[in-house]
Amino acid sequence: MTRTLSIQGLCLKHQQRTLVDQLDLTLKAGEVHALVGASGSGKSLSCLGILDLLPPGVHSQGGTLRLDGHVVQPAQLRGREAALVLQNPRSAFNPVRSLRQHAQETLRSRGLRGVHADQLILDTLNEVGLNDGPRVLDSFAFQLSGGMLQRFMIALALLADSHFLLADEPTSDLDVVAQARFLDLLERLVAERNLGVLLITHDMGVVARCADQVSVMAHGRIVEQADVHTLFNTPQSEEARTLLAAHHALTLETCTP
Amino acid sequence: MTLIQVCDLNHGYTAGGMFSKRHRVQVLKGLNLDLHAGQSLGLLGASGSGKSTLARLLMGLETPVQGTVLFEGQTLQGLNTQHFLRRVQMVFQDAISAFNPQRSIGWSIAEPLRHLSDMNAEAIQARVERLLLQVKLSASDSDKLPAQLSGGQLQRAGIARALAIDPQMIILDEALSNLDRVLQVQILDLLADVRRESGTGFLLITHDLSLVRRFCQRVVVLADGKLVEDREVIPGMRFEHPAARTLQEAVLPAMPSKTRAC
Repeated sequence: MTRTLSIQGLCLKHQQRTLVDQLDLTLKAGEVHALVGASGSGKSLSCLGILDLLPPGVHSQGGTLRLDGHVVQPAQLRGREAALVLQNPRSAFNPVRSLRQHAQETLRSRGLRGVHADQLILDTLNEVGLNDGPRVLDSFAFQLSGGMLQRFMIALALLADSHFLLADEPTSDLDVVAQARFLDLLERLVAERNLGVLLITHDMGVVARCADQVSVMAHGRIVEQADVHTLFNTPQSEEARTLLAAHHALTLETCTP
Repeated sequence: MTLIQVCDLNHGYTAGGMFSKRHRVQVLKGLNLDLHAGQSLGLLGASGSGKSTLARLLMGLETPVQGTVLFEGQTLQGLNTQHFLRRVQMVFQDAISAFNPQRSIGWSIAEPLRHLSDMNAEAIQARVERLLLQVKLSASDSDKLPAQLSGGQLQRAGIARALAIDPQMIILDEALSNLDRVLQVQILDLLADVRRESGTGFLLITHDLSLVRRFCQRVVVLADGKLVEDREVIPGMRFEHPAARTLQEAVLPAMPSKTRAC
């Protein structure tokens, strides 16, 4: 059976204002589900809402989270079944702890420590392309590049043995080369480890590159859900058409001045 | 006509000290470049290749260790700063730190006009309003503080400020990288209009070849401290240097190609 993580009827409010309205999303193991939309459309909040990591003042109403069909609480998922990768990796690490301590902490939550744990950490770093393991582990977050930290976040997700990954604009701060490597890694892990991914992005190029399913968001609502080929060939919503028009203006070779 | 000429530029920094041994990082090694008036040139490079260092040297914000930057044949160090800034303006990558947090957006955009032109207050205000509309902000944003705008809006305000004095050359240092695709296209089209109407030249510094393809007439690629490619932007253009090829191949596809059975 394909493993699934779904949220239904998620509503997020700040005072009386509705920021996210009746969001339904289903992630499947082995698939990348892209959530796209303009800035301010509620993509990031939805992602945080799924794991109940909302900023102060924003509260959620309703919203049923199901893992393989069973109702679960967000706290049961965080850092275990579902891992989070954020746009700015530097702020996601404790600045006064080495990355080794971060990795060990993650493994302790699974009850793993000692030599076995150390070996698993090195193997996992290799898997995400951080080949200089010992040096990376002795470093602090400020000593590594953004691309390396993004890989390390993925490594932590693998160490936690998460089956689902929620990635909020993971490549927006990377240059195109680092972005391509990150997406290579993501695609490989989806194929090899059967990872289910929610990929939040505003770049239809990223969607074209690695998404299977796409949800388009505007003003806090999902306005279109389709598989990636259908969306690119016959977009239904105004938002999808706007995003695709900008994307094609930049990618089609014939548009040179 | 050559506006800015870079000859045999060498530049670097001293790194380390606190946590590691001091060592010299050589960023630019014998770089040569001509910026022509009215031309839009793309400067492409991966992160850490020295793009921003070059931009800072072009603006005279740093003095090169070796080599010269000439503006109309004169070195920047010997030049009247006001005269230079009236002709060359820059938009920085980090918009938040490029604005005075305690002053309104309108005040910041008007700054070049106050210092570099003899416009009166009324004319300045009218100009600021026109600039705000030009970059797709609203005239009422003039009274807001930087903290009240989003990153993308602030970046556009930075572009408005660079346009204010109507310079001959604008250097955009990753100024579009933080914007979404829809805004990137809008701003590029806007800048293309400015180029056609007032003959302004642009140096677009980026790691994203698709922006260069949309906007630039010529592209140079920076790798290992030197320019490894210098060619006209034409459809079907292909780089030859390995570092430039890497940048070209990293461009994301236009259409989904994956044929996976779901």
